[in-house]
Amino acid sequence: MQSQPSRWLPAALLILAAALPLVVTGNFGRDVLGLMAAYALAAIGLNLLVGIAGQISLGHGAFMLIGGYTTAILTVRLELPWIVGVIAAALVTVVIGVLLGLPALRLRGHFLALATLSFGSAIPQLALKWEDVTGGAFGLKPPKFVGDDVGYWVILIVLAVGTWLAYNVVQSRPGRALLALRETEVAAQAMGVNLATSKTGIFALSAAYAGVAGALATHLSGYISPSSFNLLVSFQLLASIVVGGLGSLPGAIVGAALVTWLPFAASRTQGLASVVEGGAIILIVLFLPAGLSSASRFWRRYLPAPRAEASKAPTAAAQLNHVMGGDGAAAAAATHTRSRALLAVRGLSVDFGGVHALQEVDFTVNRGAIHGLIGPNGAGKTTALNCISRLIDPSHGSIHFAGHDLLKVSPSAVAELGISRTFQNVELCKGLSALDNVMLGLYHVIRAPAAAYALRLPVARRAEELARRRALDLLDLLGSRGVAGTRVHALSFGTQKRVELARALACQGQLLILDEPAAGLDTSERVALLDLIRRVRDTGVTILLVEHDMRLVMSLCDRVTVLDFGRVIADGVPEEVQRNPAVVAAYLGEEERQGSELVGA
Amino acid sequence: MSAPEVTSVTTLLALEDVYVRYGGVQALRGVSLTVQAGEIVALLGPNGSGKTTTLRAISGLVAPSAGRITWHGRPIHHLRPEDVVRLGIAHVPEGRQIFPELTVEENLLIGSYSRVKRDSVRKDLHRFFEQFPNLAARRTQPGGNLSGGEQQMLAIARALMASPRLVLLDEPSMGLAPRTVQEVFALLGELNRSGSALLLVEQNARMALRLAHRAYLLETGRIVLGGSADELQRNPEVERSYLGLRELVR
Repeated sequence: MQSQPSRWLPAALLILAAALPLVVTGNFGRDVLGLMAAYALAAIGLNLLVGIAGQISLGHGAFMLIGGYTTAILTVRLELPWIVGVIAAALVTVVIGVLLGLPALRLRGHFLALATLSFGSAIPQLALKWEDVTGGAFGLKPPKFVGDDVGYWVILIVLAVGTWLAYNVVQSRPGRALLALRETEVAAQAMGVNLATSKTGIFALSAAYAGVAGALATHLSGYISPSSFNLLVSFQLLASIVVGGLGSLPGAIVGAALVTWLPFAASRTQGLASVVEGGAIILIVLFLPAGLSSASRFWRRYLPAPRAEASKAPTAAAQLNHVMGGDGAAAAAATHTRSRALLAVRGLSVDFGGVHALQEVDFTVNRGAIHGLIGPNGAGKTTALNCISRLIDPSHGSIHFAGHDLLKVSPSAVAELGISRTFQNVELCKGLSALDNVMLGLYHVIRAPAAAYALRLPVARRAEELARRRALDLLDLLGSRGVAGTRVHALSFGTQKRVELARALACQGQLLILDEPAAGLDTSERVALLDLIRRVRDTGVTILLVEHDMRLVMSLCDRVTVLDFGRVIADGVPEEVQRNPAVVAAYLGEEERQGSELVGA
Repeated sequence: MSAPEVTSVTTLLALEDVYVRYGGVQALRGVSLTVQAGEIVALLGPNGSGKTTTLRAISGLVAPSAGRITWHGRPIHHLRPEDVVRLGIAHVPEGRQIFPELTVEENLLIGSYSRVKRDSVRKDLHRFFEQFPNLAARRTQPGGNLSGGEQQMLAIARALMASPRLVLLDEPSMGLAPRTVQEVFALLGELNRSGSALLLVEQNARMALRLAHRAYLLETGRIVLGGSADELQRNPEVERSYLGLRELVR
C-alpha cells in the first residue's frame, strides 16, 4: 500500500486547486478546469477497479453517460434540483454496476474486457434510440451550475471527498482484500475473502464514481447527448490511470487532468492535435512505465525519510496463545464438540478430464493431532488439500469438518469455519508488505463494516490498529518483525515461507494445513519450523502436514496417510508406514528407508 | 552413486573475487571458486548466503560489481545471458521453471534455441526420449500437467538440449519425494559420466556431498570452506550445520 502522506499536503493541494480559477480565466478555461476535476473523479473510481482490484473495464464511459442522463432527466423532466439528480446518478449507477458486475466478473481477462467494451458501446446507442426519454441525438439541456466558478468548486469538493473515501478504502481491510484478489485469488479466498461480493462491490463502487462524475460534468456543460461520453471517453479514462500510475490515487487525478487538458492544449496546433496528444502519452508511458506517480521517486529522496516504525523491544516471550488468540477458536471448539475426529474425508474422488487424480480416498484427522499426508509428486496430495479448501470440486465423496459438510460451503467460508492453510508455492501477495499480508490473514478475525472503513470511523480505526498489532506480534513470533514493512517480492524464499506461516496462524483456525512448509528452507530454518509446529499444536490447533522431509514427518506426525496414484496405499503411525514395503517402493526408496533407520537408531 | 574419477584438470570456470550487489544488499563479497572439466562441484550454505546469486552471476543474469568470471580463461562476466548459454553453460533455475502451457517436446526444443544445426537437435531429442521414458510417453502433453518430479526431469533435460559443457543446478531436489530425489541425483551422476561438469546448489547437503567431487561452503556472501566432498562430509562444523540430523530428531 501507499506510504502515509503527511496531513497538510492534501489540504494544501486542495487550497491550491481551489485557487486555480484566479489564474485560469474565461468561461472556456473554467469549463476545462471543471471537466478535469470530473474526469479525475471518474479515474479515481476506475483506478479502484483496475489498479487496486486488478479487474478491467473498457466501458466506464457508459457509466458517466448513465449518470449524466439520470440527472438530466430528473432536472429537465421533473425539475428536481441538481443535487438530487447527482445523488440519483450515484444510486442508479451502483444498481447497474451490481447488475453488470455479477455476471461480468465471473469473466476474466480478455472476456471481461470484451464484455465491458460491449457495454460501453451499447449504452450510447441505447441513449440514441430511446428518444422519448433521452431526447435522442439532440440530447438534453439540464441547468448549468449558477455562478462562474461554482461548478468547478462543487466538482472539486466532490473529488476531494471521493479521493478521501477511496484512500480510506485502499488503506484498510476492504482495500487489502481487493489488493489480495489482484495478486492471488486463491490465497484471498483461503483467508475468507468472498470473490463475488468483493468484485461486484468494487465494480459497483467504481461505477458510482463514474456516474457522479458524469452527472457533475453534465451540469457543468449544461448539455448531454449520446456522444458526450462515448467509447473514446472509456479509453481516455483508462489512459488516465495508466499515465498516472496504476493503483495510485494521486496518479489518477494528475493523469486524468493531463489527459483531459491535452486535447485542449493541442487544439492550438492546427490539425496536429491528436498527434501531439498521442505523442505526449507515448512519451510518458515510455519514460515512466509505472506512470507519472512513479516520478515522485526522483524527488522523494530529497524529502525527509518517513518516521521509522517505533519498534518496541521485541516481545521475545510473545506468547503463542496470546498471539493466536488462544481464547478463541481452538479452545472454544475443544469444549464444543467431543468427537475425536476433526476432519473426515470419505470416498473422495477427483477426475481431471479422464485422469483420476484421487480415487476413493479415506482418511481421518483427529483433534489435536499432527497428521502427515505424504506420497510421490503427483500422487494427489495437493489435490486433496484443494478439495478441503474448496478450491476444487470432487466428483464424489464427502468431507466433514467439525460437524459441517464442507462440500456445501464456499471457499471463503472455509476460513470462517476455522481452516487455514499455506501453499506449496507460497501464495503471498508479492506487491504488498509482509505486514499487510499477515493482516490479510486476520481478514475474518478482526472486522468492522466496510462503510466504517471508508468513513474512517473510530470502530474501524480501532480494528485496524488491533489487526496491525496482532500481525506484528505474529511476525515477531516467527522472527520476521524486521521485514514487516518490506514488500514480499524482495524477501528470500525462506522468509516468504515464514510470512505465509504467520498469515496462516493469524486465521486462528482449528485446523492448520501446511503444504510442504520445509521446501526451500535450510537446516537451521527446518529446526525452527519443527519447533514452531510443535508449539502451535500445543495451543490446541490440529495440523495436516504435507511434506517430503521425512525427518520432519517422522518426528512430528502422530499418524501418516500415504497416497500413490490418487489412492491411499498406507495409513498408520510413522514407524509402521516407514517399514511398509509398498511405501518404500513407491515413495521412500531404498536409501531413505536406510537413512531413516539410521536416524531412528 | 559413487563419484567417478576426475579425468581432466582443465579449468572450465573460475570466479575470482566476485562481488554482487542487489539493490542495497551486498549478496556476494569476494567469491572465488573453480570448476574443472568433468567435475561435480557442490555449493552449500544457508538460505540467503548467496548460492543462487553465484549461479545467476555465472549465467549473466546479474552483473558483478567487482571481480572476474572466466570460461576457459576468457572473461565472461560482461556477456549477456544468451551469449553465456552459447558458450555451453546451461542454468536449471530453482523451482522447475518450465513452460506450463507448452508441450514437453516444445519445452525441450526451446532448450535448443541457441543451437544452429537443427538435424542434430532432432537427434538429441530422440536420445532424450530414450533416456527419459516418462517424458517420452507424455511428449505431447502440456508441461504443467507433469508431476513435480517429471517437471524437474524436464527442466534438466531442457538445459541439456543446449548441449552444455557445464550445467548450473539450483536446488534440483526441492519439493521432490525422497525416491524421486534419488532418481534425479542418479540422473545427475549419469550426466556427469557422459561428460558434463555440474555446479550444484543444494539444500540436501547429504545427497549433494555424496554425489560431488568437491564442495564449497558459502556464508553471507563469502566462501568459508572448500575441499573434497569427503573432507567436508567429515568436517564436524558441516556435520552440525548442514547434515544436522541430530537436531531434528529428539
